[in-house]
Amino acid sequence: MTGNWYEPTKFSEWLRRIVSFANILMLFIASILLISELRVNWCELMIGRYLASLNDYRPETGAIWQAGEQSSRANTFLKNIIQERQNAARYAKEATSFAELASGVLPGQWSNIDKAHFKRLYLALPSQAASELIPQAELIWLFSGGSVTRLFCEGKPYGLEIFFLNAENRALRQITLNKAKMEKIEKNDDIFKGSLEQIPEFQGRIYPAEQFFKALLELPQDIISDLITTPHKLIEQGGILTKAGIWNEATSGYIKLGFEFKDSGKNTVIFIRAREWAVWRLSSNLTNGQNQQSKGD
Amino acid sequence: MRFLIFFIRFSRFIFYTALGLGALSLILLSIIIFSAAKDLPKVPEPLSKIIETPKTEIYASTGERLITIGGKEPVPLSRVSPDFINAVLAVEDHMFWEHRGINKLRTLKALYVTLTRKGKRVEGASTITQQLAKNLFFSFERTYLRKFKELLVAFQIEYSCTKEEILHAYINQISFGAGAQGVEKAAQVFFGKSAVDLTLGESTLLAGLPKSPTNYNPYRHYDKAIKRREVVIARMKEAGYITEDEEEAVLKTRPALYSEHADGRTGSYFLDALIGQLIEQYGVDVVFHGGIKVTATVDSNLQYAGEQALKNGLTNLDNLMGLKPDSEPRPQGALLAIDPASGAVKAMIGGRDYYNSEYNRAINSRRQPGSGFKPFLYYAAFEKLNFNGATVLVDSPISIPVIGSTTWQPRNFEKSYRGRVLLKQALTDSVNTIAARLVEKTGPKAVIDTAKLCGIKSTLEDVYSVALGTSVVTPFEMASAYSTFASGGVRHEPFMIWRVEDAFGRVIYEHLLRGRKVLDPEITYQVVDMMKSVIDRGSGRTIREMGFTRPAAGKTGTTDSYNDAWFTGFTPTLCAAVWTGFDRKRTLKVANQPGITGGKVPATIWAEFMNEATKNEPLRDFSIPDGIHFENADLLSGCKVNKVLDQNNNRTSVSNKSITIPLKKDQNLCETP
Repeated sequence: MTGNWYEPTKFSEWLRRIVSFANILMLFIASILLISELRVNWCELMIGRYLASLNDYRPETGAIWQAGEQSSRANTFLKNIIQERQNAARYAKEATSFAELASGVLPGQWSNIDKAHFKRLYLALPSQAASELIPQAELIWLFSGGSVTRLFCEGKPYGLEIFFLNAENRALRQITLNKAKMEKIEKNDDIFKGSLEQIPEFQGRIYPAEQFFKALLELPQDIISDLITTPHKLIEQGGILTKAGIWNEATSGYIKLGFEFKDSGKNTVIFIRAREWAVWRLSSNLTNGQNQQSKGD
Repeated sequence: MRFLIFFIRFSRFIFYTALGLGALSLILLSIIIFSAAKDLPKVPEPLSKIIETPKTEIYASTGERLITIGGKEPVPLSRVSPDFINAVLAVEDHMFWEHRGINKLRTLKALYVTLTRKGKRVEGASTITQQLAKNLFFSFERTYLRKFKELLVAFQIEYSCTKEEILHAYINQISFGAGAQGVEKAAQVFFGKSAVDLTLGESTLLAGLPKSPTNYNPYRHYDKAIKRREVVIARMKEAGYITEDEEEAVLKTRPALYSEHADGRTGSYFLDALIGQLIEQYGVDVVFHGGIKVTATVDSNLQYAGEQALKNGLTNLDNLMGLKPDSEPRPQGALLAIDPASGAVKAMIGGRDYYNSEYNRAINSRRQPGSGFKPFLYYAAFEKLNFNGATVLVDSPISIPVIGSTTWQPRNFEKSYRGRVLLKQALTDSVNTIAARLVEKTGPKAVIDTAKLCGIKSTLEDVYSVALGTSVVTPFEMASAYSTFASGGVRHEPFMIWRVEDAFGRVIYEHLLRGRKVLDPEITYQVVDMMKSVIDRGSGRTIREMGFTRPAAGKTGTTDSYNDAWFTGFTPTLCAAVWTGFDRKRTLKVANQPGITGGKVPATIWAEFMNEATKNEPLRDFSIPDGIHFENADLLSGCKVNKVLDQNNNRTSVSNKSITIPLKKDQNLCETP
């Protein structure tokens, strides 16, 4: 096409070409674009819309986001503190022994302990260990004198400090729970070299391990965890589990369970403390099992 | 004709070149936008949400809110004076409601001026949306790329938000200087009122500040700020927001600034120390952005009483020294008060004027305590040698050889000697030679050990002179250590925070009161009894002369060259240490007269403070331990003086040359230990 193009020789020809349809159309479109941009800002809107569509994929940078990050870091820090506190509170609530409590509340963590729960744990200690921790008479006075409003425990590298606080947050008495010592006390209290039959408190409540566990495993999971509160003690023990027994007395809401292991011809009984109400459920299962067995016989 | 053809050809060339260049520019611009888009900062939704930060609040133990840190709560447009909004729009962006992020004419003009006139900068080309984009996301470096990115973000903000949302975000994040960010804070800082209550005069002043918050800071450059305000008012008139009459009227006003304005500083030595501790414990982010609630130990009434007492005492000191109001340097002071029963810091004043010097002398300034250290020496002597207040020693010149150094020859303050003196009198009158004889017997280590047990943490030199207070300590340490005497020998670590909660009220820290018995209660009582005598009739008797009648004990301290003057004392419920002196070594003295001692100015400050601090408390004396009994000792011999029956009024009395001495069970008068 361009090969046929020639330059106009007359002014009229020039004029005709200038006011041609194509030129007018182009001018019209350019004007429309320019005027509409000035009137309705379509260019800004178009760019804005495009950028808004990418917003979620863009980085959170800039002064305001930095300030936001600081807030977010602060929140995370505070959340961690609260989380640790809640963990400590859970341990303080659920621990079945002082050794467990001392292991659960980590150094730097703290929590309040329910007075009744403390009493239960204290009463579960052997008498001598309990009075070494705090003399019974002093404990009676602290709890019954009306001054102690709450018990507060704080994790330490060596174990736990427990404070008896009055309403002003003043520590009236402070006791130190040495983790290693508590574990030792409980371990001594947890092992018996011999068989279940040698312990009179188990008389009439000794069951073959198979029967015992069959009855136990029929219970809901939450009850099982209240029965086998310290499974590691049983798992760690070598040998074959032959019998299990139930102590004839409850102490502070707990009943002792005895598990007899046979290893290289020697018998060892491992004790664990189970929640009283869970033991009743287990006993009921065991009794039903025995009855059914009798009927079958 | 030839010219016409040339013109047509030239026009054709220009047309097609412009068309080509335009198309090329469009393509280039699109490429730049596409490539820049992915690096642009994300715009928060909603825009105002990210401006919010929860505020950290610090409360006094008495319940008053002491300070709010870092909190930003956007104020809605309905709670902002319309005059302020109109003023901001008039001066910053009068086309705000029309444009979509850019004012094209102003931008073209700015571009033209920038390109054609080197070095000349056009002001005010940025719209409010562009300014918002810049303030939220970009640094303040002046580059074309930054400006371009800012423009793109402005387009997005305009597309995503309503004009009201943009204006709301803008007025809540803009900086007005003097620590004021956002219009509500600015209204509070500059006029002590809420943004909704701003008048036209105040609004126009405020609206002028963001252009240059430092240069137009009305507290420093009021006239400049008023000149700038005239520009704002003129723009408001041009934009039709105000009439000519209103313009004339407002130009005649001169807005009064809030006199109690607070800049970015806390204005309190206690709060500075507390915030420092919080930062150490939880970090800057938690303190300034975590929205925690802190209950501090400070008692607002005691803090105020301490500030007043120190202010009055230092004015008195200026007068005594003959200093004029504009004299420099001026003596400084510090006061620190602690509750002995808990260790809670109840008042802390670290200097005469916080806004003049933020240096907290109460906790940071280590100075020689002089005789203020003697109670530790007497306690050590009583414990180690079983001495008591009636033990007699001789006040005479003394030389103590020191291995590897020159002989130590301490002298009395008055340069005179009185022969045989009871220890109680020796402390009452602060006799240096007796203190030297005691430390010679106990050894400096016993004194240092006692001071450490009581709570002195600074390094103490193992030399005899430590007993006369030559090792430097802070007022905080002195108050803390004397608190141990006040509580009968039970030490409580001093602390400033009772409780810290997160924004939801969950406790993240609480202080437990754990006292530790570090001193023998009976010996402590014996020393306290002697310190009572210091106030009743000794070097601190100014306190009684000032009308403070409650049972109290304490000790003055003045260094050899009168550089430091102290008084530290306590009642059974409150212990306070007061220090005065210059920041740099300089003597505190009245012209042509002896220097100023601890019993003069610091004791008066202490008395004024304690009078106010304890005025509502019931009268209470120091409790006497079970093993203590009292005997009357002869002032010369230290032996027991029996009571005699006075025939006139039929009552028993003792000679006025005797003194009452508390003794432990195993102690009797006239015994040689």
